[in-house]
Amino acid sequence: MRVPYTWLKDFIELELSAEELAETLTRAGIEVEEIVTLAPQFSGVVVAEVISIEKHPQADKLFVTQVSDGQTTMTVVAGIDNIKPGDKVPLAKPGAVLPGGVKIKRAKLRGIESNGMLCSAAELDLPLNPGVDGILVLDPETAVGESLTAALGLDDPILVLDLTPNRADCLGLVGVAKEAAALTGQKVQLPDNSLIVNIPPAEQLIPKIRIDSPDLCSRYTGLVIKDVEIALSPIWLQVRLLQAGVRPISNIVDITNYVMWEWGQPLHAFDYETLAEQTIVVRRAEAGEKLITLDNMERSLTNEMLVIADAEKAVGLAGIMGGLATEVTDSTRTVLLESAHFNSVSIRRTGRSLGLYSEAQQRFEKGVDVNGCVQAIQRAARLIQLLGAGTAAGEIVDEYVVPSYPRQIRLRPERARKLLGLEISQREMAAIFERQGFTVQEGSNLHVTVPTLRADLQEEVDLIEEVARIYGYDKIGTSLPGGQMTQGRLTEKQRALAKTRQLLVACGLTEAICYSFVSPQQFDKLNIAPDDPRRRVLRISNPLSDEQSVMRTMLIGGLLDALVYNQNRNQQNVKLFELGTVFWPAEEPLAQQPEERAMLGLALMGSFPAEHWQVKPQAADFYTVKGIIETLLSRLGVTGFSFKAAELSWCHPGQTAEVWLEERKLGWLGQIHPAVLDNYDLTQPVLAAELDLENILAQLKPVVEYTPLPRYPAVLRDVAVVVADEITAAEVIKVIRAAGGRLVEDVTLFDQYRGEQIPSGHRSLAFAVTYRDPARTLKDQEVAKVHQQIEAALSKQLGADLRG
Amino acid sequence: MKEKLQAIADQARAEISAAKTQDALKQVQIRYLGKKGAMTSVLRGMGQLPPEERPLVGSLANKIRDELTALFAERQNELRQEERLAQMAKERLDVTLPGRPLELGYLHPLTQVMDEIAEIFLGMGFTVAEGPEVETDYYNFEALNLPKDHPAREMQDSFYFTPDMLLRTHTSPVQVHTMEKMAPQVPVRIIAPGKVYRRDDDATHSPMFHQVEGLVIDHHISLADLKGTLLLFAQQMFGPHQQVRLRPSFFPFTEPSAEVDITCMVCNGKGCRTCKDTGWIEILGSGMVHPRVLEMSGYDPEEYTGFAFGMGVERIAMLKYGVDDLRLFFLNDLRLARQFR
Repeated sequence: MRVPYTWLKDFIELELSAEELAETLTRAGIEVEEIVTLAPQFSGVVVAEVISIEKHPQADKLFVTQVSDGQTTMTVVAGIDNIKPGDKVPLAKPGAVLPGGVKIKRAKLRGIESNGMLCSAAELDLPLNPGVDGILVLDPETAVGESLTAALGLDDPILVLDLTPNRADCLGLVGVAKEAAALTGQKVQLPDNSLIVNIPPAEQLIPKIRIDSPDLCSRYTGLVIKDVEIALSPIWLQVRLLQAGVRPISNIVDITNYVMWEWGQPLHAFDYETLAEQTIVVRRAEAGEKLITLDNMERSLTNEMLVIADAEKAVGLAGIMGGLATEVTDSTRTVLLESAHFNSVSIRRTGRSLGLYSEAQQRFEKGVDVNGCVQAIQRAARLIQLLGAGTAAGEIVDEYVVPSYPRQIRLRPERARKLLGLEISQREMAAIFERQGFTVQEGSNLHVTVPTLRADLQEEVDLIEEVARIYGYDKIGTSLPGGQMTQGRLTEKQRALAKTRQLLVACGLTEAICYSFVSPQQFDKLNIAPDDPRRRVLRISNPLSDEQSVMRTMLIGGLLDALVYNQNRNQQNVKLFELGTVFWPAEEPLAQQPEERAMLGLALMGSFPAEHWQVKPQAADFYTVKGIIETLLSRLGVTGFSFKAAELSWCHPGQTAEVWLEERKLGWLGQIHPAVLDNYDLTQPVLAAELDLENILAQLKPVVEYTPLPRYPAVLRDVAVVVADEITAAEVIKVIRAAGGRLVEDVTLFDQYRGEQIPSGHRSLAFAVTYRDPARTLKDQEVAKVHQQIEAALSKQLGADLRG
Repeated sequence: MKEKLQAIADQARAEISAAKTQDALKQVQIRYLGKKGAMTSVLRGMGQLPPEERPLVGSLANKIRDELTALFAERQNELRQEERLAQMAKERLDVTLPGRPLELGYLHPLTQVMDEIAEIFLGMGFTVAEGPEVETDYYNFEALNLPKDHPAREMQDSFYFTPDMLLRTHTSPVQVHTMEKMAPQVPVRIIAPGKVYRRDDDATHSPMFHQVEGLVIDHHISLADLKGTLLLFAQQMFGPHQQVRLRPSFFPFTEPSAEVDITCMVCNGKGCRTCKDTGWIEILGSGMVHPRVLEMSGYDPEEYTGFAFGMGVERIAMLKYGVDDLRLFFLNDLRLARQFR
């Protein structure tokens, strides 16, 4: 809402400057976003009076004028003669600068010296409606000699309000004035708008008005204006509309807009003679009913939409836009003014479904004061008469079918004081309401009568806020909640998640946060099988773009996008993780919320550590990501997890594994399939993993159990075996442990060798076996015996060839 | 004999000090004190001395041997020191060469900010609550006093799945979940950090962003308590000189409602471009929990009151670090991440 400061002062005397008023309003919750002006793009232009005008003796298309700036009379050559002696016109004097940087100089035009230039509205870049394309003729009362900027109020400050949706009352200057009155103690002065009609009843033009849908239209007020002379509005009125941000058109339409700006009540003007039987019916549209609106679009209506109709057909979309057939035109002689109250929900729905969003519509949506209809129509009639645009042809017809009355609300002063934590007397509270013009009855409680304009004040707590707002939030002190002590602590799960982050950072990974919504194409890009449950996604019905239209079921897509982003910015060595939610929809049709699961995703590419003079970086491979997962799980206290080779459509078939904990799958890890890398334009191998944190967190053992430190020494023995490639290291270790029994404390693989001396399809694996008895020192012979058992078992069970 | 011993001693002293290496010194030691050394051979001749001289010469010989033994030890120490110094001189390093890298990762700046916020409120006795990101209309709107067709719903353009199911537009539904779980127990003191979603995309808006919600319910909670709590928070988060300013505002789920400004951290309240010369920066929305919201979730508004607040994590991170484009937080650019140690 734009509030022209000078215009506002029509309704209230203000001692505050525009800036001070803006600050005061803002502090009271009526936020002034900025203060602007119409910002004229010219200087040195003054108001001059035309003394004479005649043809240029040397040029057919030029005219020589004598104009006065109030002090001197000077000669100015003009290119058009739409002016006459006595007219007030804008004179750009020598030295003036016009929009676009044009400098005005004294110049001889065909032998006659011109002392400047008489300007058109276009030359001044003023979006006024001058009617003709010629020199701008100003209002007769414009003061000669004054700068045009000051004379027209082009530099008047305009307060731009960013209103919260509850304060529709401030969508009119009168409402803003009332707010300013409450804050400053000044009185609001409303103009006398009463309408005196001196026409015998029999000669009055009285429209027939009928409301068929009182649920959508609680009031409809109409007034016929006769002897209408459509003309341009005076410049002062046009400037005010420009300040409001409304385009001036012609007097009647301009006045409806002007009054809307003042009173917040949208008005509409019909050409009365085009209405069949001079009748207005407010009704729901018939399904499929057609209406050509003012913007020359044919609209197909539904039974949900409220229309204004005459005796035969719809002539306007109630509260949204008028119809073309009944529009006020230059030939209109009689006008029906409409000031009505429509249901905000209905208006919003109709507006949305037709894609319309007019100023009137916005006001109806946010709420217009149903008790302001008559004042607004009276104000319009007065202005029409003032401008000589027409006269009232009869009394106002007021169909008020669902009346609203001011509310009386009880306010308990003690309740207010407690809720605000503020010591404020009952009298002070009462005064706050009285300053706004509310009636207050004082007893042990306050009973405040709130006018319907303030629809935001519905119950006691609203009045308490009003007290605090007007009294000043600043005057409220600070305290801390008392009462029972509470313990602030993270839950075990929250601590585990925080620890997971810390561990991964310690592993050299950087945390990413990717969007929860992804492109549905992601699954093709990732080569996800057509029947994979990951393709069952939750779809956003109104996404910003297809790229962000489905909820993710895996984290890896976003992480690969992040790798590409970094790769394309010359970041080749990147290790990322994300702790995020994935969404598994319930059965279609969606009746319940999806399952949201906390997941951990890892993705890395490149060589680590970074180039160093001493340490050579190593390319990340399967075992890099496996090492991270092993470290993470064991440091989180998960024990007994294992890795099993797996095949996943988006991974390298030979370099993929699943992580298992007993019968529970914790996730997968692997090298991303080269075809997927191609789809993403990733140029290096990428290692990735996804773990289901819900499953992992369920396994945590938060209390670490102490194991006594060993009191007897361990004995170390190595065993190296050559086994067929199909036999995994895990199988070999299993055999060693089984054969070694309780004396085997640890088995560590320390070497893998393929090549010379090893038959093809085989490899050599070397293990260090730690033997220990917690109760005594082991003898060499005992260890040797067990070690032999192990070797025998390896050879027998795995066909292993024992070396060294 | 005495003279002979003295002469040997003199020569040995000279050779000890002349020895330049530990090996050379060892040779000298063998020559004089070894089994076939000079001292030994002299003492072997003791038998030829008259008996009365023997003790004197013996005592002198012992003295000299002790002296030489000490000299050898001393010289050996010196030589060892010298050799060590010489060795270490050869081992001089260029200490400006980079050390072996231990590559740690980085927490996301938003995580860091949320952790800091949580830490402050944990210290004030709050716990951390959570709720789903896909919400029903009831929790996201209705239970927060935003009935269908309420104009304030348009303050938050939402992503829908069905007419009844949407991505939460704020963390406020967690208030409702918490109250439903706790009612009618008090005190309630929670914060709820998390992702929220709105249909917006520009330099200061992202369709996904983060909020931290706060809720306190008890007997006698007042607007002054809200102000005091937020003042404490601002001073912990942004520094001890912070002040807070409440401005009336409108949220359907709080009444009275307030926007909260804090002292601009760029100019310390003097006025600058960041705060548009006001000295104040808006950081969050807040208010006293609306009686209808309390009632719907099981608290009698006559008996209990409460306050709630919600802050944008990205906004706080932008203010704290001077980041000017919110979307940067979701690009996961390593060059950016490395700046947030």
